[in-house]
Amino acid sequence: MSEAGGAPVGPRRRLLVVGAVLLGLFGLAAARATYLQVVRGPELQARAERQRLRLVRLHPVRGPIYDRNGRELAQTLSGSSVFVDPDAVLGRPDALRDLCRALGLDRASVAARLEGRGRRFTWLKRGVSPGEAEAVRALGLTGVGVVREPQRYYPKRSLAGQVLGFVGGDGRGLGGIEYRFDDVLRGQELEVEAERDARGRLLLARPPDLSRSAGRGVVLTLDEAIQHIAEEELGEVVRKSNARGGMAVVLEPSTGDVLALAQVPAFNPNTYRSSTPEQYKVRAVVDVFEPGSTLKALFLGVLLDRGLARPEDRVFCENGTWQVYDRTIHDHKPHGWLTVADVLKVSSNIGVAKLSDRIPPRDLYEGLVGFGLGRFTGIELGGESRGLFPEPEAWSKLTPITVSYGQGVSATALQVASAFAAIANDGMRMRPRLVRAVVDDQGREIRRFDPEPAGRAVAAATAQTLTRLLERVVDAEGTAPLAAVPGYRVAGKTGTAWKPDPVRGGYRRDRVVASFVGSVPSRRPRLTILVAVDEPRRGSRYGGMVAGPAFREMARRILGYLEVSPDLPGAAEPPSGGVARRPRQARKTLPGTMPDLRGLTMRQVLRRVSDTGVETRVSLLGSGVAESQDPAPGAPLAPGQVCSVVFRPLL
Amino acid sequence: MRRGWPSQLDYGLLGVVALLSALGLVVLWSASHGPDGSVAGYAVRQARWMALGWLALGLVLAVDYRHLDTYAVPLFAALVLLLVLVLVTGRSSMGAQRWLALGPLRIQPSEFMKIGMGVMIAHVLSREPSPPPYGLRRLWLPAVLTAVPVGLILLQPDLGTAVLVLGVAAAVVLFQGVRRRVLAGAAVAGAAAAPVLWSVLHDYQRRRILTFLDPERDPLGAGYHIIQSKIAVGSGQILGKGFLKGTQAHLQFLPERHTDFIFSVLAEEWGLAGSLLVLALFALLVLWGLDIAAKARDPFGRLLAVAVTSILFYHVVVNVGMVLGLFPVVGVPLPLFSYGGSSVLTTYLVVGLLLNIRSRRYTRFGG
Repeated sequence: MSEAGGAPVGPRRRLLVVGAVLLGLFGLAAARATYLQVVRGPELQARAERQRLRLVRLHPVRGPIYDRNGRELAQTLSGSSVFVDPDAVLGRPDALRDLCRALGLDRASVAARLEGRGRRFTWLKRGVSPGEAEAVRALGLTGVGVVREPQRYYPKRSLAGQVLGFVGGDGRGLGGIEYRFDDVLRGQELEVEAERDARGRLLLARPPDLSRSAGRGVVLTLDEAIQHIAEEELGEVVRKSNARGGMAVVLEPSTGDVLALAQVPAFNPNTYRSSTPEQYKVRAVVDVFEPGSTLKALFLGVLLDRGLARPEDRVFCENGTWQVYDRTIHDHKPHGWLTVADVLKVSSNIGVAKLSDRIPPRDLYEGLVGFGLGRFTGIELGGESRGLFPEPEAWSKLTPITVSYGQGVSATALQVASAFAAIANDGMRMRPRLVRAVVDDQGREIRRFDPEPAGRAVAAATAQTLTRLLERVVDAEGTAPLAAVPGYRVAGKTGTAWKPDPVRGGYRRDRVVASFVGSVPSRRPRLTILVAVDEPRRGSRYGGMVAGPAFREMARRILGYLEVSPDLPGAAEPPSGGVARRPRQARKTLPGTMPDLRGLTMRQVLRRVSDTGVETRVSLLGSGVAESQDPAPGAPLAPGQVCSVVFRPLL
Repeated sequence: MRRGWPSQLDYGLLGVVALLSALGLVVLWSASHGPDGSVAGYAVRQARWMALGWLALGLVLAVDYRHLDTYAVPLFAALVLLLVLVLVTGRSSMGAQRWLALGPLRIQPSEFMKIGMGVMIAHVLSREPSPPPYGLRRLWLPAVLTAVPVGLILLQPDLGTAVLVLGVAAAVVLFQGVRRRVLAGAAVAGAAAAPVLWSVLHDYQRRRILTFLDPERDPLGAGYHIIQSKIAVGSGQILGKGFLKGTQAHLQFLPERHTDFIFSVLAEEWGLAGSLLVLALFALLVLWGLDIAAKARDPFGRLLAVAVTSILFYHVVVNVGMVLGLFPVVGVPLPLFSYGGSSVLTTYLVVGLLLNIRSRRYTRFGG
């Protein structure tokens, strides 16, 4: 062996061969790498992205719902939702148990729901609390993920719950304003490309800008404080009379604005899952009832308007019982000769029934349709009924008689309230309006809805005459002395309507809807309030006795809240009891904002609006002095914006 | 010509190893990242193992490799004893007994048996008086010597290491030369034994082989590793996704990304360029080992160089072949890249031995 070492020639050649073989194997690996990374590279790259990227649909941030003063009635909070891979979860009973415990779900029903879901992605629970989300994350389970998703929240809980409606798990509005304005509120669903890791946990590289796709806000005509008063007083009367339920509608006659729409039992949209449709429908709009005596006011209005009756005309009221055709009509107190004015005051069925032959059926029908009976009011809520008011061709000889005191015709509470608001608004019926504007996320108005006249019910003079007659209803001798509001004139009418008996036909005298509807202050009406109590079971059943006091308390408190000055001299006490007193706004107007026009003449209004320096369009309704305005004083004005001002005559 | 061995130190080889070590740490650092941006401590611990490895390399280098020839038999016997001890008292991990607790250290004797086997076979064959190619009569001793540790390791059970130890012995024997008839007989015997072997394999091992043949038959189960590895490698394409940008690894689609499948991380982030560079460096390392064998001063040195080079070669080719879907999934680490102390130490010991043989090719034993 040589000193320099090295292998003999044999092993050396062998090493060359071995080296070549080994190099060949390395070459094979290199070729394979080249094949995978070059030839199949694009395909495998696409496959990588397919398994890594997931399109995730995120609920957009739903727009808020405000009351007329910008207070939030519905808002959207950030929340989380939990999703699972059904296969991964079902395979491990203890994982499922922990998960259900963390989320407060029933294991058996969850298992049943997940069974047979072949997909690798299913929402387990949407809208979990931060605590629940944290608990799920802490479990660290495979095949379970938590993603942030906005959640709907109603800060005032059940306040105006039925009107607001609610939002289902899929982000769609399912009731009330949420349903009707779903397109506006919902915003655009965001499709986000999210990375997911091998355990299915989603990772959003960049949190998406949810505000860009956010829904618009809806500004209601409701006033939170008035709504609160209406619900409180309604709840009180329903409780006191042990009634099945109740409704209250508060309208602003000059604009048709719905200031409150209360309903008992209440409905809390935050917990809509545990409620039934019966609880969350807006009964004042969906359910019809026979209005009963309240209709007498409208009936007489039609007669007076056509000159077919005068307040001082006399009618013999048959001492309480009158046989006509095959029907016997009763008054709840016997009366002899009464003036038309007194017929209304004491609510004599026989009185109005006898007057009903003075008007042809077609004219009576059209007159009442003018008040909105049998017609949709056009309120911005779903499922509205238009009531049952047959065409005169279908009438019998008896129909005009029963219609005169409100039987055989049905209407919604809102229709009745709207008809009385028309009387208060000098005979001009305004479309009941629930939505004032649509605003963007900065609160800027995108769309406005102006007050809309829906047609003239009666002439202004008739309306004023009728108002005088209705003021006597709350006199000591009237049917509703308890509805009188200290310090204010009230024009209203009671109603005690028997409910139809669905089983035996006819009516059930033990089941009534006791109502009172009236406007206040009657000579310069600010409010029309309807209170209807469904099946009072304790104490009186008469509208004046049951609903009257509730009307009075609502009116008293709301007038106090609105700081409406008393119109009766020698008022017992200044108004009080409102939720919060608003300091009178100084009549100082900043440039570019809406001035306070109330109490000004039309000429003054036009001057002040042009003084703002903003080119707006002014819509003037009515005559007299400015009564109400939209936008509110101090609101910023945009060029081209429509400002509407409603005037009333000074009496 | 008599110079001290340190003057013959092979800095080229050291350079290649240092470069591979550095690349390994870089890739391991990336593989330590989780989907939430957290970083596990693998790279730091690996660096500590490497520091220990360089120390071991220095120690191995300082002692003339020919002492191994002298003490081959007691060394081998000691390792066999340790393997027996593992079976008796060893710590069980992942369903197999591979570890031996030595105070705070946990050692894996089967890992060192790879080198021990090479030393023993080189010792026996370098003393074989008759020239190769060998017939059966010359091969019975090496066969028995191989069967003992392989059998013990199989009992743990650790099929991967057992095959590797067998491979080291086979590499040396085949390098020396075996008669064609013996080779043919072995091939026939092997083919005949395959069904028997199949029946003694564990379920998971059979599944791996079936899966290798058709990964898509169970893409979320047994085939998952191979499919995900291919996706990661392929999606790297030519230039890769960039350092720390490998989505498949970081989002944990890639299993065992810091150990067995670390080459996928490399391929995903550095693309074909990175894969070829690392493959080339490993090929260079292996050829360098063969060159050392070729120029070794004595038959023992030559055979030992062949044996330890084969260890490196097997690890690289089996691991990379698995990652690229050429071979079934076998838990073999990629030297200097996969996280793990035993693998790192073995690799540095192998390199130390190669340097030892190279730097003493001009020095006499004991001189």
